[in-house]
Amino acid sequence: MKLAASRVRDLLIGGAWLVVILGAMGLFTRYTEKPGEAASAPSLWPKESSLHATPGLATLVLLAHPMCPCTRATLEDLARLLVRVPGKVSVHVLFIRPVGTSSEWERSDLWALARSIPGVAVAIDPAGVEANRFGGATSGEALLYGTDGRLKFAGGITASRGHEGDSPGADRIVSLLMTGSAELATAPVFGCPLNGPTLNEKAR
Amino acid sequence: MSEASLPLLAGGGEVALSQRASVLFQEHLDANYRRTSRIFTGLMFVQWVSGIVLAVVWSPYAWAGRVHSVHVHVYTAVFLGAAISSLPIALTLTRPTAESTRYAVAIAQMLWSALLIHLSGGRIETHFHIFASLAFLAFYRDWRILIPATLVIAGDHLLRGLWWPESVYGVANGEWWRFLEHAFWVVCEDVVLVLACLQGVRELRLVADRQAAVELSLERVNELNQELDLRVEERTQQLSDANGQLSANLESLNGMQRQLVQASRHAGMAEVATSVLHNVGNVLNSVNISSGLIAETVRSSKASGLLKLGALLAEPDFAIALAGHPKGHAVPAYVARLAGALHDEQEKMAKEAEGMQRSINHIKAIVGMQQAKAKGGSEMLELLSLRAVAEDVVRMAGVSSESSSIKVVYDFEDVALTLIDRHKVYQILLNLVNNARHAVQDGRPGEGRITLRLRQESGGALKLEVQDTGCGIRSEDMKKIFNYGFTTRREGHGFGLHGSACAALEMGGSLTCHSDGPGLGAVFSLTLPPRPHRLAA
Repeated sequence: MKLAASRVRDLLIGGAWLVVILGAMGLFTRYTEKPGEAASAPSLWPKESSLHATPGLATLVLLAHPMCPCTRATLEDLARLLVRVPGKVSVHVLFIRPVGTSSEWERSDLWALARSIPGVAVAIDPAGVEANRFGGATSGEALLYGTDGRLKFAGGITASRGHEGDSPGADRIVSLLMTGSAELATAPVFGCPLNGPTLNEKAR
Repeated sequence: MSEASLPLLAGGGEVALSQRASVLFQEHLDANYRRTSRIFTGLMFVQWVSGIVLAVVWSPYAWAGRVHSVHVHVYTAVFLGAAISSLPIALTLTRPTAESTRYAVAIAQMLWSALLIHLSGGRIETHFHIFASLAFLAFYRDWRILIPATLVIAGDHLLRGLWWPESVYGVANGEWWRFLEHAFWVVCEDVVLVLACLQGVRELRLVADRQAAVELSLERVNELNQELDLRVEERTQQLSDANGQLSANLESLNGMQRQLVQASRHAGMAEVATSVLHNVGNVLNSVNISSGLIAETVRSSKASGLLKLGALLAEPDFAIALAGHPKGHAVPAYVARLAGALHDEQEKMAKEAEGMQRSINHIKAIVGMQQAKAKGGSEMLELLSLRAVAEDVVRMAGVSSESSSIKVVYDFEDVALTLIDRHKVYQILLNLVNNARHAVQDGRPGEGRITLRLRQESGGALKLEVQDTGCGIRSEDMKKIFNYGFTTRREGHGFGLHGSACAALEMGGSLTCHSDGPGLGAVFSLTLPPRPHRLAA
């Protein structure tokens, strides 16, 4: 009887322990699956942008926060993506430099990682001017404009926060570039907000 | 069970062996559980710390523009990691051998695999943590805990594969059954680990069986050892008792020995006294004879004639009377004859007196010799003529007197003067001649003869024989003729021949006897070495 009671007690303790852990893992999973704010990108290449599209090639603009841990997976997936579509797209990676930060602030390891990807043009986006022109709000936002200057894709190229590997966004970009489909595609983007609360408030 | 231990098991030995083996097996299992639980206590802590470090290094902050805050990964690593590790750490510390501890550890280890896969962004490399964890769990050698571990990781993959395949498979369009592929490899490892666990348990049981057999054997050996100790103690006590008894006996023997030594000393003193008295008695015979002759000579002396002649000469008219007496002219001739007779008497008594003096000196030497022997003294050697010694001895024994009817014959080779101990040779010869005289007197009357013979042998040794024609010696008496106290004469003591043989040995010589039987006489032979014993040494 005593043995049975102690076993019940053990089961209750173990069950409670398991419930707590599974609950916490559920919350954690929910966080990693929660996408950032989607971009409100212009449907045509913004003429005021300082970036120049390469004639005859689709252009991919990737907006990145230089300190965002989740953006490392985005850059890794970008490198994989470009291998799948060689010579089909010109790529610009813009690292935002928020107002009030030093001149070298953006030179993080992500900066170095981006520069190491072949065929990628890396540039600074002081005060997020270009990001605003392209309507991006979340680090990892990828915008694909076709040769005709029309927006083909807006969204993330990772499956969740910081997770490398296949993702719906990357698959759609590859598909667009390989098939030349005219349909606009989107995907959730996972990353840190490009602008701080003050800037966001200003933007709103 | 080792075959060597079988003979030691008797009666209920096999039951005891089985019971002891079961106890030892459980002890080995518990020891293994404790050991493995200690490993997992450390591993849980290390995993927790590693998760925090991974989160802090990989994704320390979440950013919004230039503003940052601690990343959710860090909170997750700290708090969720602590939650996962807390229960197994508590159980491995407090109940390391409990079955529930092993199950909790197995589930927690798989949860750690899931969390690390999450924290690493679903990196396929992190999946190796699952396989490593299963291998660690196999240290418990309890294959049952692999079941919940496998179920946990399979459930995680199933659920996340259904709703979030990228996080677990790295692809967006993972099929729902893909978890089975992952589970298959886990099950493959499970099969290997289950076999390893079963083998490990079998080995533990084998070790327990052998240890139980060895313990029982040692126990039996100890029992035998104790029995042996008891026996040794018992035997030691017996030996100790016997030793005590022997000591008592030895003490008693020592006392007896002291008594015997004392008695022997007394007996030795008596023997010495007897020998001295015997030898002195022999010489005293000679003294007695000489004194008798002197007394006889004095009694029959012609000195009374001289007294008569003196009284005649004292008369006043001696000359007238002498002239007028018809035999007066015969007086001068009478005086001359009287003077001659007195002279002869004087010569005779002087000779006997010298003989007495030598005898008395010999007595003195006998006594002195025994005293020297008692004090460890040495013999006195002199250059002497054995012929002269022999004649002197014959005279001492009274054999040569006119009254004796025994004929003495000297058959001596011409031998140079010999370096001998005078008194020992005197003692030996005197005994031999006296014995010969008695033998002859006990033999046939009128035919007695004693022959003293001296020969020098080829090696230079001198052989002095005393042969008689007396009563002879029986063959059965020959073996004990020199024994102390043995005698064939009624008035004898058995001291003379024994003492003579001893004296011959002391001089390095020997004394032997030969007789052809009763009535056929006997020969005693004294052999002296060419050089005296003392000088030869």
